[in-house]
This record gives sequence, C-alpha cells and structure tokens, in this order.
Amino acid sequence: MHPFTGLALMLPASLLALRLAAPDRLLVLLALPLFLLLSRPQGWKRFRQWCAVLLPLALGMLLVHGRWLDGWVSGTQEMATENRVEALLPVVRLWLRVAIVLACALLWLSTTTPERLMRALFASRLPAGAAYLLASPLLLIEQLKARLAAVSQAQAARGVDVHWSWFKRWRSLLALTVPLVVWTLSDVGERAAALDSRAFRSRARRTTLDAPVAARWERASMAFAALSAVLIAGSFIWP
Amino acid sequence: MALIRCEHASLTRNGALHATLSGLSFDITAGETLAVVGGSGTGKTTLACWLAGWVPHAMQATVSGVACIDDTPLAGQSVARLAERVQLVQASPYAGLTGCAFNVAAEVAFGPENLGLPEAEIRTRVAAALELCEASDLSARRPASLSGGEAQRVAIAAALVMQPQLLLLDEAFSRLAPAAAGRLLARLSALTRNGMALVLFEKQFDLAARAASRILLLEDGQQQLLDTPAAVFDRALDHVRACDALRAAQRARRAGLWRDGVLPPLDAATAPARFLDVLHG
Amino acid sequence: MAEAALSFASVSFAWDAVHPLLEGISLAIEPNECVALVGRNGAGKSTLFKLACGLLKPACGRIGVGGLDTAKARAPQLARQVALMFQEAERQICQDRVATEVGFAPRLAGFDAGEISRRVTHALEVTGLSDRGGSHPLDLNAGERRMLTLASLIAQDTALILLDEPTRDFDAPQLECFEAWMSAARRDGRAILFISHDLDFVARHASRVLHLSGGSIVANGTADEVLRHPDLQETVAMAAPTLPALCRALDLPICTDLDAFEQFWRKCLG
Repeated sequence: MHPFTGLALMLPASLLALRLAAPDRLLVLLALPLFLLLSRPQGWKRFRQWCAVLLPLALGMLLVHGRWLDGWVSGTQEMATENRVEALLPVVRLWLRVAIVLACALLWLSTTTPERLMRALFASRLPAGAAYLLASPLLLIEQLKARLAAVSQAQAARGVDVHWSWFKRWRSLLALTVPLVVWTLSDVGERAAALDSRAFRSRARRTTLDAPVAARWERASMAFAALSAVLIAGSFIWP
Repeated sequence: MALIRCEHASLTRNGALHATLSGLSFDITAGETLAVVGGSGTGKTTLACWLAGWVPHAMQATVSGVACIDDTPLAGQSVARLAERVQLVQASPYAGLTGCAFNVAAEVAFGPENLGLPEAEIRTRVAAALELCEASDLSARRPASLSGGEAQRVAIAAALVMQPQLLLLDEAFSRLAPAAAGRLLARLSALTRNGMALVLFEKQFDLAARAASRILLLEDGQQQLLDTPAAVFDRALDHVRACDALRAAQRARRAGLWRDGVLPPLDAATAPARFLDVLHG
Repeated sequence: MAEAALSFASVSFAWDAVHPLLEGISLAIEPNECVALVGRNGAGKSTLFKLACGLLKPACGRIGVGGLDTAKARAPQLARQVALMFQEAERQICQDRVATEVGFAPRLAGFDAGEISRRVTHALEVTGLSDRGGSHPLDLNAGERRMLTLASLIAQDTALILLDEPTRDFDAPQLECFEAWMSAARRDGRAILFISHDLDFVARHASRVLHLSGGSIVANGTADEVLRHPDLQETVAMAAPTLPALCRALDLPICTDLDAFEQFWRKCLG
C-alpha cells in the first residue's frame, strides 16, 4: 500500500471525529479503526501502544474533570452524581476524539515502513528540501542511539559507573548529553555540506529508486478522502 | 588545458589571524594524479574543501589570487552544481553520510538520484562503484552500523558513482589496512586513464608517492615544493610519515652516506635496489 | 610473585549465539611488557580490548586486570587499573575544553584539585598540548585530537594501557612525541598492549606480538617470528616490517632501530 493512502484517509476520519458530538456515535467511529488495527499483523503490539497512551490519559482526565481531585485537595462537599456526569461529558467526547485520531495514526503506521515512507516523500511533489526535513527524523533516533552507546562506553572506560545512584550520575549524565548535543549540532553543518556534495537540489527533477506506486484504487481512495474532507469541513460552516 | 589552475592563491579563514593557505601555484590536468602532502594542521583539508567549492558558503573565508576550475573562480560556486564534476571524500568517514538512507545501496544511490538519471543507469553505476571499492557485501547494511574502514569504502563509492572529472581524497585510506588501501589506490589510478583527475591529500609519503606523478608539499599552509616524489623526498619526510626503509634512506642521504645520481626509493619494494645502487655504483 | 597486569583465562565471547567471535583465548601481559595485537579487520581485536577493560563481559572464562576480575569489579575500580584509547578519537571526547577533558578521569576518581591540576599539566606537557589547554577539542586537528586522548590516558595514570591504532592520525613530529612517551611509560614499569596495522611501528616497539585469527591466538612470539605470516603482509613484493626486510636484502645484521641501521650502513660503505 502506498504510504500516503492511509495518511489521506486519516484526514476525513479526524475531521469526522471533530464533527460528531454524541459519544455513542464517536464510539462507533472508534470501533472501526481499532478493529482494523487488531486484524493487522502485529496488531496487538500496536493496540498495547494505543492503550499505553490512552488509559493514563483517561485516568488523569477523570480525576481532574470529575472533580474528585478537587474534592480530595480542598475538602469541598461531594458533588451530586448527575452534576458529575454532566461535567464529564465534554471530557469523554475529547477523550474519544483523541482515541480515534491515535487509532487511525497507528493503523496508518502499520500499513507502511519508515523506509517506504521516506521514498514516498522523496518521490512526491514536495520540494526535495521539505522531503528531507520530514524524512530525516525517521533515522535520527537510530543515529542518536548509536552515538549515545559510543559516548557512554567511552565514559565507562574512564570510570563512570552505570550502577551509581541517580544523584551521583547526574553530573556525568550532563557530561554525556553535552557532547551528544554538540555533536548533533555540529552535524547540521556537516550534513548540509554532505547533501550539497551529492548534488542535492541541483536539478529540478530527481529520480527516486523503488518509489512506491499508488494503484488505481489507492488514487481513487485519496480522491475520495479529499472530497470527504472538504464535505465534512464544509459541514462545520453550514450545519 | 588545465582543469584546475592556481596562481599565487591564498585563503584566510574568517577569524584567523594570518593566512591559512598562501603561495599556491599549481595546475591539475585531466588524467593526472597529484598528491598534496603535509603534516597535521598544514592546510590540506582546507585546500581540499576549497577545490570542492566550499568557499564561502560551507567554509567562510576570503581568497585572493587565481584559483579556477575551467577558468571560473572556485570561490562562490554552488557546491551542489559543482558536485557533478568535483567530488570530495572527507577525512572523517562518517561526515559524508547523508543521514537519509536506510541502507548502503540507497546511500550510494542518493547522488545519482539527485541528478535525475534513469533508474537503470543508477543501479548499474551503484553496483560498479560498490564493486570497485570492495563494498558490495555492505549493500544491505545500515549506514549507522558501519565501522570506520567500511564507512570509508562507502564514502569513496558514493563519490565515484557521480563519475566526477576531479576526485579529491582527503586522507581517505586512513582506516583501511595497508593491503586494502593499496588495492583501492591501484583501482583508482586505473580510473585516471579514463580522464579522471585524482588529488590525494596525505600524511603518508609511501601512499602518495606510489600513485602521484607530482607532489605538492605544504608547510604551515605555504606551498614549499611542487615536484616529482624523488625531488621532494628529503624535505617531505621531515613532516610526513613513511615506512622505516624510506626513513633509513632519508637519514643516509642526510648523513652523506649516499651516492650522487642515485634517486631515493619511493616505496619499500625499491629500497633494496637503491641501496645496492649506492653500494655498487 | 608479581600479578600479571592483564590475564585472559579461556575467555570466549560472541555477539550472538550463531557466530562466536573469540574462543578459548588465554594470554598474560606482565608489567613492563609492550605487546602488540595484530590480525585482520574484523578478527575481534577491538572487542578483545573492550573485554579487557570490562566494557563487555565474557561468555565464559575469567579476565583479570591488576588482580581484579572484570566481570565482578565496577567501572571506577577498573578505571584505576586500565585505560583505553579508542580507535575513533572523537567518540571519547566529552568536554568543551582541552584541560577539562584531560582532567575528566582524575575528577571522577575523586582526587583533590591540586593533584588533578598537577596531572593535567604534566599530561599536556608530555603531549605538547600545553598551549591548547583552553581550546575546544573539536578545534584541534586530527593528530592533536589523538594526542588529547593520549593526554587523558596519561592523567588517568594506570598500570595497564590499551592503545587501539594509536598512530593513525599522527604526522612525523607527533609520532616522535608519541614514541618518546611510550618508551618513558615502559621505563616506568607500565604494561602496554596495542593494536596496529603499521608493522614497522610494531617491530620498533613490541617485545612480543600476538596474532589473533579465527577467534583464537594463533601466534605468540617476537615480531620477527609472528609478522611474517601472509595474512599480515600487504603483497609479496614488499615484506613488512620494512627495515628488517631491507637488512636481509642488503645482507646486514637484522635491526629495527634506525640508529643501528645507520651504523651498519656506515660500516658497510667502509
């Protein structure tokens, strides 16, 4: 599947989530991406990621907006149940909307790999510089991890103990992060020079090897998604 | 017709008190191999970056004198446009990585992709470049996981794949074992027969003398000598590294234990022959 | 009886279960020895160094550094016994001034300011970086950066020193400075184990050479014996180390010292 197909379909889904108000309808809208997510390979892993964000969020929102936290802290009187439910309604709506957007995002990520996404970005009509800006973070984490490992090994060789308490380690942690930051920052100029040396942005058109190709149904889906997004957006203005 | 021409050229980096490079007068023609040798901090890397068109955008500096590529001044050139003709392989092997390739093959293909070449041609070029640098088995590796020597091979392959007219190698063999460095240098020398000009920036005399027809000696950023390896031998070895056999020859010559007319050896293999020439006349 | 500065007893190590890297490695380095470790790229030499420092733990066997077991001892204790110079000098640097970088290890070890200052000054003097104490490490050229890692090692003041490709970025004067330090360190009684592809350098300094190949030590002897192995030679035409090869070609007594060669050559010319 072309990486942009899922991304395109996310747009009307998110807009629809904003448009709908009734929690039961939002729940139905949530069920669809969650069901699709679970049916994908590695679906349970992604579902767990989804839970890892949304369950603590739900707990936090409940405590704050349900006024329980208020009550414990300031010792005011217990609220009536109907009032509490009324106070919670907008919160539930908000939580459901966040849940839908996150589920759609995870569903989209499950349809593509970072490599394909990078190729799709470079092959798209985006200017090459913008494509690079969006694509390079995909690899940044791996590079930072490799550097972190190298710097911490060098420091261990000079006597920094990984088993120390956090208090004792904070100074050496600073000594760990400062070179990483300096390294990464000085890297920016180096990267720019490296890209220039490969004739980056020297020609108007660039080839992309193994560029993902959007099938007809995908192109139709993207068009449908764009149209739906416009319609839903329009329904905001003309209810 | 010279590809690169420098006459009394000098360069001062922004913020420096005195000139980083001065008195540069040399030519580079197509198919030639020139070696620039000098000790640490003598300006080799600065010169390499200058020839690659880094001044003033990627390297802030003021220049004077003549320093041209095909009669156009090097300073002020767009590095990206110049990259089709001039390729620089930097001393630090990781410095040339783009950071947007998931494997080595994609890393090497990045340059030709930017040139808008057809897919089939890109694949052929990439395969040929990796083969020449003995890096074909690294194709599927992640660039961040490469060792120093592997990264150097990939960097050289990424430069060769652009099929430049001028290839600048700034201590690009430092992390390779001597055997591997020798093999790679031999293959690159073979490429110069197709018209590519090669400039080696080295701290190792043996490597420089093996491939280059002329050596430019830098001391404190100043051009001291531009001559055949044999002519710069004595002075160069005061600053740059060489194997013990060559060093023994330099000391013998200094101490007057040599015979006039016998050229100094340029690598360990010819050293015995030269010493025997001195002995027997 | 003096404890070996470094000892490996049947040490094995593998990155994953399928491909063992080192198997049954046993070696001992005595104080005052200068030993070279040679072998092809990928043979596991740098990994062996990391095992010796305690950065990696062996799958089986015991590694002893100055009486400590690397598997049990903690990093601060090991850092007082063994210091490592990494192949890539930049990866080691973690401070923004040369003087602070050199003083990093003594500060961690908890010495007082006077002692730290003394060590830093001495280290900078020996490596010729006295006038660069206030510079940023990345402003130094490649050879000076390697000298900086050497200065950090000197300030760490350990009995065992491991050097991974130490001569890589040096020019002729810097190499001379480095070799002078090495000779002084040996006279002080320190044990040095180094990796190098420069066989001339190995021949000049190593009292013993270990050849690592196929996961084990295949040779352990003098430079002359071990370095003739075809795996270590560049081509048949140019035998390394080059000075002994030259002596053999000229029928002179074998030597690895340039002064000695000059004497022999002078006599030869008559």
